[in-house]
Amino acid sequence: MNIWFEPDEIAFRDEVAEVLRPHREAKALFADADPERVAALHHALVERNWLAICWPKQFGGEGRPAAYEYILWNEMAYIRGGRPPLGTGIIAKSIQRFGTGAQQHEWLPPIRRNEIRFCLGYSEPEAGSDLAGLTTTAVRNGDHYLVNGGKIWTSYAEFSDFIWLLCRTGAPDSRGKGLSLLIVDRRAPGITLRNDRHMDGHRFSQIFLEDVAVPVANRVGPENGAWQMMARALADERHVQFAGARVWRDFDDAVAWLDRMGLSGDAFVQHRLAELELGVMEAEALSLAVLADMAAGRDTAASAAANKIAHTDAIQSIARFVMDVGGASALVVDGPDGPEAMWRQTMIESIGGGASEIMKGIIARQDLGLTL
Amino acid sequence: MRPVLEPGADEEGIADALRALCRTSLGDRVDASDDFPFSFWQDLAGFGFFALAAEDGFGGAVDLYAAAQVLGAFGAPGPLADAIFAAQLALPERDALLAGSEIAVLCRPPHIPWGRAATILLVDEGVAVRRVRLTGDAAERRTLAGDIWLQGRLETAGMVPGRDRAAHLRDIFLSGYLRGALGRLVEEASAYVASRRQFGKALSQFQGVSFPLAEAGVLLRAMTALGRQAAFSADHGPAPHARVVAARLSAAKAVSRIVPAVHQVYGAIGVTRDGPVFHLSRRLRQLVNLYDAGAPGVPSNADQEAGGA
Repeated sequence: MNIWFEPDEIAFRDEVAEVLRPHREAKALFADADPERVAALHHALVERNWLAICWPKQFGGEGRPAAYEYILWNEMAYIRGGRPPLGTGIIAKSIQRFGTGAQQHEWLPPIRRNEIRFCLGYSEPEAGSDLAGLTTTAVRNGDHYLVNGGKIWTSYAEFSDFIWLLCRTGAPDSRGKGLSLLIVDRRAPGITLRNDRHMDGHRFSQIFLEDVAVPVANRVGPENGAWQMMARALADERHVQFAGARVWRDFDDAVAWLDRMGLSGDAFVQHRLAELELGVMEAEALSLAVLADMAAGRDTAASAAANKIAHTDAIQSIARFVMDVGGASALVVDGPDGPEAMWRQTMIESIGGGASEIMKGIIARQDLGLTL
Repeated sequence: MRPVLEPGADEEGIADALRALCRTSLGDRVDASDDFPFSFWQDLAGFGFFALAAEDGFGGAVDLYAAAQVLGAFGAPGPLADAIFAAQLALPERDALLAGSEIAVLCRPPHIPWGRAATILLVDEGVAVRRVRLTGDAAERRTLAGDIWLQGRLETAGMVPGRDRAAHLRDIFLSGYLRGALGRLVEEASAYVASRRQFGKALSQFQGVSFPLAEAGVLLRAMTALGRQAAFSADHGPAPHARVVAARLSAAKAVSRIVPAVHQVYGAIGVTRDGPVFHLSRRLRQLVNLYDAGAPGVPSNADQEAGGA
């Protein structure tokens, strides 16, 4: 990917790789990661203010262009160091764009220092991909909202301090025009969690909200104005969501495993690996295309959708292939880099962050001009 | 970030001018013909197309990629990729080749594509280029795309240096040509499914119809990103080989997936001989076969220039 970057950006990539070298075993992407190693990794990022590498300087950031953020999270993806935190990404950038001065003063410093963690309270049992249909309500009562409803499929909820809650403040039939965003203390009275597990071992939660009092001061942006804010926040983050190095890492791990099993010399395996490597190169180029669109100020929705489809198709194809040729050995639970773990983990990727069907709809509308 | 995907003013200017030339010289549609397109060939030579991206010519690989997309969208006939290949070689007839009065083709023994018109016969052996000549009689054969080839016995007439750059530019051209043709097919198919109504609504409102086209959209974006990356790399990078191979393979993959999808969404119209797809799909299939574009051979990712973290 060197061809895409300027010398200063390549120098930054080298610096990131050097800083991450001692943390290659943290593997924060995985459910059973060692918390102490993960904490040390996060400390290394906070110490250099890299969680705020692209925040404007006025908010305590480094003011670097989006390419730096891409490079950081691309390198993190290769060591399986975890995804960009919601707090420093979607949430901080929304507060920067739409928050009041008081909110920026209150929330941004602890987010930048990774002292507080957020989860996204978006999906509901009856509103998954169709978020405009959500029914969790926030009713104004003096200087508070009273929140009632429930959220589901919420990752990181039990480890979070706050919920970035999307809720209905407008009429029941107001769809996207009646939604607001609130910062809700996850431990506030009236909130209970029911935890469950993904196929890859990660925990997620169903959140029940019953007469939860949330200060009006915790509403970010205008009442009923959340839809545009969410679209903007997504656009600000698309370049770091599905980085190319993650796909390279899956491919490299697959090749290493096939080598260990003595399978990589087989002509059929080599032929198929060449095809899979092409898929990896396509996914990487598309992830860079998202960054290029963002850098040029173009809308990134369709390019990000194409990237996500290519990315998930590539990693699922790699995992399926290793399972196909690995026989009984591929079934043995053998740590997070083993084939069975890869097979379980990659299955989730075409659902989380926007299902493939939603992505295809975006491409059909925006690239092809179709009415669905 | 470097402007890998950003078209430059020169590139857009070349594409616009070539589009105007094709519109005049070829019209909207090119159907199979027994004859070599001499008139079009002269127009291209007058435009300077055969010198495009040559070391002593004008433009770079990114300009060639842009021009190739235009030619692909028109389904332009003739051994275009071979001409780009030959223009990079140290051939004694090179000036005449750039002027369009000599026509070079890459033979796949015993096949000689466009054999009745070809005057310079070459064989690309992967690591070297061999010049050949026909000995004895040759038989005419019509191909999938409707072209007339010759089949005959070929003997070596000598070796020609300069293969690597020639192969890179040929493959970049090929990637662009396939991208242009596929883009046209998807664009026209999208317009069709948006206008054609069945069961009381537009075909595009059925996900079974729109999703294959959306998947085609993903492939178009992927092949474009790799194609432009390869072209940019050929102009600016030290080692473009892996990227050029990836661009060629991505384009071939896109052909193998998009062409059947486009035939399918048109229904019966899509499989008629004179319909909106076959005139291009037959040529795309032929190009993929001719240049072994579907064959594996992506270098190992140990080649750091190929990408990776």
